[in-house]
Amino acid sequence: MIELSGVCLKAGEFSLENIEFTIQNGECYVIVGPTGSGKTLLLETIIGSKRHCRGKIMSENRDISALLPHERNFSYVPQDICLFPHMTVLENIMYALDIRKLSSSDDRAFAEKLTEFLNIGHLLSRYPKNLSGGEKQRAAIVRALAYRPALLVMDEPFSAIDAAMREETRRLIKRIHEEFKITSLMVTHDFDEAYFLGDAISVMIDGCIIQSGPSFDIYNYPKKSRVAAFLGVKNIFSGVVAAVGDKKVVVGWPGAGGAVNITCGCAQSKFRVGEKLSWGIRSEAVYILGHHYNNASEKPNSFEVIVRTLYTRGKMHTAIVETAGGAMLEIDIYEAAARKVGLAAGARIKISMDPDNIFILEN
Amino acid sequence: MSFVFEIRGIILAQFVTSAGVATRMIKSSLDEISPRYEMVARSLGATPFKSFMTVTFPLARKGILASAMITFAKCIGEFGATVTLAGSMPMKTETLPISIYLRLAGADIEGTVVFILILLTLGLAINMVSRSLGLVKYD
Repeated sequence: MIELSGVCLKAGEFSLENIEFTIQNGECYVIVGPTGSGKTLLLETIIGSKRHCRGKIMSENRDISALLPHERNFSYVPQDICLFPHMTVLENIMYALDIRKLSSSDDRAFAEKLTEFLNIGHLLSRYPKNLSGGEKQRAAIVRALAYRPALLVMDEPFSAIDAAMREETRRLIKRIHEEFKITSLMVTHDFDEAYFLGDAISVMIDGCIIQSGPSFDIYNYPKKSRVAAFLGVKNIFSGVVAAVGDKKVVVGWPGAGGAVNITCGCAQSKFRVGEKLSWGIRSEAVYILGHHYNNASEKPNSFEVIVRTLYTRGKMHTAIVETAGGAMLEIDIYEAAARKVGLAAGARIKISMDPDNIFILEN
Repeated sequence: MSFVFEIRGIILAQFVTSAGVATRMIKSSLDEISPRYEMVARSLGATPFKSFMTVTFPLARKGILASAMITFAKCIGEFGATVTLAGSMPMKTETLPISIYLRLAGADIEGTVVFILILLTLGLAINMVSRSLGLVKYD
């Protein structure tokens, strides 16, 4: 188990503030955040290349804050992969084993198993300059894992790979996690990658961790508007609490001339009638009801809207719709579904929002 | 230890005039190597010395060799400091530029041209070899 508590670091004008999270054994932990949020700096602090000024880094309940990088047992794969260019792939893979004098047949067998698993056996005699981006990435992962580190640290592992190879490499890394149960920490600016690979996620913005939790919760229930904005949530509105029920809040939505029901797992006492709050919903969580659906009133949070703009882009379409009160909503819908409901600019449609899919944002 | 009018004086004069240039060129060769290579080596278990010797130095080796050759070429052509410290004693402290100077002083134009051509050829050859070494890139 790797644990960071209250880690702070100053690097010129920029600083990391009170970084806290725990990585369980065998877990893939992902830190996601926009470019310039301090993700790489944090990784460099964890591997020991940068010294933090406060806080603790613990590995298996041992404080390793004062240890040098080569004493930490954390393996690092940087953004630009950095296979040693003057060594063959085999020499790169054997580097850690040779340096650490790990020469038992068991260690060699493990390196061979990794090589086989990542299908780079035919590349062992090649130099890195003769490898594709995906091959370099696979070789770097084998090199990093060959000596069985306590933590695999990866910085934007897919940034140097072309789009066609990216999905394949993602799936490969997922399979490595399942097969070898490695503990890993990865940073990325791409939430799709984070959601795909991460068992748990922390969202980092401006050197601070804003929200941490299981991938599903972060994606579906961002707690702060900055997190929601980073995750690409376009539908964020504010309203006044009209009623509070059992695990339910009714919020007035002047923009639609009505109110929305929101399910919340929190205590009733958390919200008061008359209190102002912000809420949001992901654009793919807004449902469009078909023409022949006449019982819209039975559906919670259903409204009639007009499609103002329709952006068609491959399998997903994006519709910008306007409610009766002038609020603008963004809806993502699959192309086939859009055709089925006759989605077109200027069309009058009915939409519905499941109370379970609406999240309340903290101020 | 005397340096004046001695071969030692040539060595000292050329060292003093070239050390700064050589250091700057070696530094730029090392600066070209991304520090992430060492970071990776350290994370794989290498000490700072080991990571320098196994990663940074081999990567900078060609640049360092090219720097040494250019510095050597600069030393071959060095005149001012050498003649000031070691003098211009024929067959004792006579470097190529001093030979040119002595032949020119004795109005030996053919001899002067021969030494100028030797110096020019040496300089060009060293420059070409060092450039070709410096142009070899791994990435």
